[in-house]
Amino acid sequence: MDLTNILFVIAAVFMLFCLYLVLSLRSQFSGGVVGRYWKYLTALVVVFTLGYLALPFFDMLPESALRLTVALVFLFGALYVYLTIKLINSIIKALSS
Amino acid sequence: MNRQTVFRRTAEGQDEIKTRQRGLEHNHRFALIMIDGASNVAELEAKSAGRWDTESLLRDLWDQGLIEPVARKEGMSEHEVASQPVPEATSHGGETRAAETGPDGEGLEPQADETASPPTSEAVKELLGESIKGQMVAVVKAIMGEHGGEKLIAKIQASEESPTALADAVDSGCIFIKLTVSESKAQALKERLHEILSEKYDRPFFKGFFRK
Repeated sequence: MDLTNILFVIAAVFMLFCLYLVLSLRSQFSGGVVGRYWKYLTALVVVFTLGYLALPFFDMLPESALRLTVALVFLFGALYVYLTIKLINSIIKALSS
Repeated sequence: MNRQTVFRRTAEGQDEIKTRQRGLEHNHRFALIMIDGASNVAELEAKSAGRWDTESLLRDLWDQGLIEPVARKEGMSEHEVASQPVPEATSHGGETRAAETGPDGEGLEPQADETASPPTSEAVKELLGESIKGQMVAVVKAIMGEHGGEKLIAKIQASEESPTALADAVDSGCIFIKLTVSESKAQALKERLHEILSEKYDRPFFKGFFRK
């Protein structure tokens, strides 16, 4: 197994652990500011997990589909960062109100 | 009973909260206290969290002339509604019930009574004793139901019984509820609990300690 594949496996395992965390913490946020954002973050983690698990099959994809996949990963990654920043901002506002 | 009907306390109902002359049972008294002139039957039932048979209690209170539906005839102006006299404290249930449908049988719409006061802390205190923590916990349970308010209740119960410590417990507990349960419930809780604290420690010395 080369370095690239080792990194792929580590990433997939790490993302599965994130999926476990995001789902297990969900019961603590039935609503409110955090609960509102948590639903979207959970959905994105599910998408990322599926994408990471599909990594071994990316070699079978034609190059155009691979480029589209990478673009989607970038898009969802940016969305995830945006939601995280909004969530942190909302928490700070709630704490300072 | 129409679940959209809004009730308010009659003058006799207000007196009963202060004087306890009728010796109402616990549930009847608590239901009387919870009447705020703005919540309809369905909302009162939600606040009871299944602890009371709300409709039965309201019917009993209505029969005794302690509460009355807040209603207006179709076509009646806001001014006419506002100028309607509140029935005398001696009016009995039959007369009050007749008022809901009107003498000519026309339907009446429920309407919130902006002049009616929400259940006061004094009234809750009378019911639950002098413990301010007990009053605050009762309010948390009334607004949050059985679940969602546990952390706030724990903070209140663990707090020292001083105005600043209790206010801090309320503020931090309400932030937790705002973040994880509901923003509107957190706001309602914060206002109501600070109101109780203000009433309890309503002395010039304490006033500077409160953060609203």
